[in-house]
Amino acid sequence: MRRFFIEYSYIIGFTITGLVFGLACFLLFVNFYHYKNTNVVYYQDSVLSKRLVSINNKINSAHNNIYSVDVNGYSGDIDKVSLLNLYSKLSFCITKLDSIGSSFNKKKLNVQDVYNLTLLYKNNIINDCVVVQLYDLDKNINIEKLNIIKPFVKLNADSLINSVSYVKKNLENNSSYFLSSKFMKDNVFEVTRDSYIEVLNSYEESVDLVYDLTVFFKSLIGV
Amino acid sequence: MKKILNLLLYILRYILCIIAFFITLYIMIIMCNRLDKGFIDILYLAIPYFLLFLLFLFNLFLRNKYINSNIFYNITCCLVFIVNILVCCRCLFDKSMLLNRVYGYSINFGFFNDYLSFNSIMLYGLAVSTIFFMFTYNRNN
Repeated sequence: MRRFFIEYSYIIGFTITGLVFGLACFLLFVNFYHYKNTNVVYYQDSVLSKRLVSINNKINSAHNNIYSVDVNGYSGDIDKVSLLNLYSKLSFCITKLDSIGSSFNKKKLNVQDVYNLTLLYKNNIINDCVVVQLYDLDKNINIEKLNIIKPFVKLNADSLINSVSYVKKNLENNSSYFLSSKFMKDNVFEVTRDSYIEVLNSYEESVDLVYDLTVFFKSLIGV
Repeated sequence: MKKILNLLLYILRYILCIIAFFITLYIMIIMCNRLDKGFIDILYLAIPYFLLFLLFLFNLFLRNKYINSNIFYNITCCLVFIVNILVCCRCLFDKSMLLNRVYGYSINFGFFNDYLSFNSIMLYGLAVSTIFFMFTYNRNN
């Protein structure tokens, strides 16, 4: 056995060196490929731009619905304090939607921009507006008609709360090596582009929810 | 030409070994601080570097031409340390990997952790192949 090792130690040494060389080359190329994949830049196309314009128009309509009514001058059956509470919740949400609207208009996005946008949307809209303001809509608000739309609001809020959690986790896991082909990136999933579209979809749903609530509010006042 | 290239790689492997060791140690120390672990817990990671460096010095004094003039072995050593330095630099400076900022240390510990097992395999592999080449030296002497 000893003689065998001494005779063939040169071959075994080269074999092991060759295997280590192969592993090192693999790691080197995988790192270059991974770097190229994580540095993909997404350029916003015309379809998304039109979508953003329609979302902005909806926010403006919601804005008009809320600010065109004179809540202080209301003299109907509904409790005025409750109306004012509902008014302040909705105007807070519209302010938040206005504040982050410009962040979606960026034409050139890399993965860091999409991640920042996800955090901004999650903190400002999901946490501050949907969870704090809209989830328990009838808290300190005594309006009978609210019971009709409360389940609808809660259902939408539940769907929105979890809508971007997996996007955030997926983006944070972009350190793992993934060897996706160009075919997969064009047809199945591309991290930067598709994460941005998921956040935009969720943003559009939250705008729709707030808009519907402003229409409801306007109908309460009777305008 | 081959001799000049071999000499360059021969000197480079010592320099790269030292740089790779210190940059890895830097990341490991911060990782230990984050996890409240003692330095003894990461000492096992330094063993392959020390072992390899000792074998390099041993062969330097023995003037073992089967290792020192082995261009393929020298290229492999340099490549292994270059990969090590490249991965450590990506952990520290590549901001497109989002875990780099999530932990709050500006170091992507997850990415580094994934690489550690490959690093140990490559370094121990090099040490074992060095020992086999030393047997060859002894046989021919």
